[in-house]
Amino acid sequence: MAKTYHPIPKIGTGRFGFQVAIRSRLYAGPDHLLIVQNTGYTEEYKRIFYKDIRYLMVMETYGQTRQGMASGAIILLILFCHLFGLPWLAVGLMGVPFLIWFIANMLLGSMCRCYLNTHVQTVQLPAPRRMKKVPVLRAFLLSQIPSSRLAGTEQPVA
Amino acid sequence: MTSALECPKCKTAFKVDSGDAEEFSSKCPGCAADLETFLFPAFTRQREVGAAAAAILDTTDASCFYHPQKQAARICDGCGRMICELCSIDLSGRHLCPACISSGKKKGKITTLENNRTRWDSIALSLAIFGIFLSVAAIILSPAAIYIAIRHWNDSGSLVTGRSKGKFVVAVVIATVTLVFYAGIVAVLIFLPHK
Repeated sequence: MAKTYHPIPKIGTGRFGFQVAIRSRLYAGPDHLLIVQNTGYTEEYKRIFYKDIRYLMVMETYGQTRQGMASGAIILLILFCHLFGLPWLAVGLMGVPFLIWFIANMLLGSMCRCYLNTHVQTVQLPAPRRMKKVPVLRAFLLSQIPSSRLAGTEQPVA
Repeated sequence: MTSALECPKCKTAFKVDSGDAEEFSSKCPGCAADLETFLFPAFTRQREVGAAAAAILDTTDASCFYHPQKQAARICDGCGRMICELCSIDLSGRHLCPACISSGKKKGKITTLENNRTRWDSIALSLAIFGIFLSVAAIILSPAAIYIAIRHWNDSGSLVTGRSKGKFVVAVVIATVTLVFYAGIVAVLIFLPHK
């Protein structure tokens, strides 16, 4: 059986706030976007029909700066520990993951929050969380909106 | 074009003169947040308002099943009853009456109306795995995992990944092996000749 929903490629997954255990992802349906919040044992769904989307609003956040400062501070702290006798091997083992985090954060670009507005509500999207990926979502929505006026497929009611 | 927008952070409504652009940057007058906006066709479209049901004027007019004084405008795609404009609910290109919507949601037949699902396969697998490590609790956890797997064998799985019985099978196997293992230990302790 063909799947009804497909993950939107290249926009990643997201979380809302500090809910580490909850993963959220955007899926493309035949005539709507599906936001899935997965807790591991339950899934919650929100649907936004393409034809109802009025605008996509993107708000740049300070997430990249905060993550850069946090990872940079940890790296400095580990280097500082070397002054008190921590061997270079330990410094490398502890510092490399944070260095990777620091570099990846810099390369991925500034962070943002995306909101979709319809006539009745404004919904925060779990992804994309980086400004670089916003055009991907916008291009996807533009490609879906004309075709969404066609009737979707629905299962029969018993 | 003057665009009426709402800041998602502080909920301040404001207007922006964006010309004919479909993409523009603005600053919220309430919280000074930098906002980038992409407009879509629905932005300029008037909000759709449902048609009012027409009253019966002639005795030959078919009436709505739920409102006998109103003219029937459609046939419900779910139950085949004649319904007026007021009762007709457009759902992904189908016209359904409120009763079909209600029963469809209750029975889980209309996936478009589902807003949550429980992943019984993940629960069964977790119980089976916890049973391995929590020896005494395995007496409860392993049978619980087997019960959940059997009870929810035919339930729909995830809406996005589809139904998968793999986790159920693994949960039943792990739970059975755990039960047999602990039953064996108990049997050895009971029946082993004590010196």
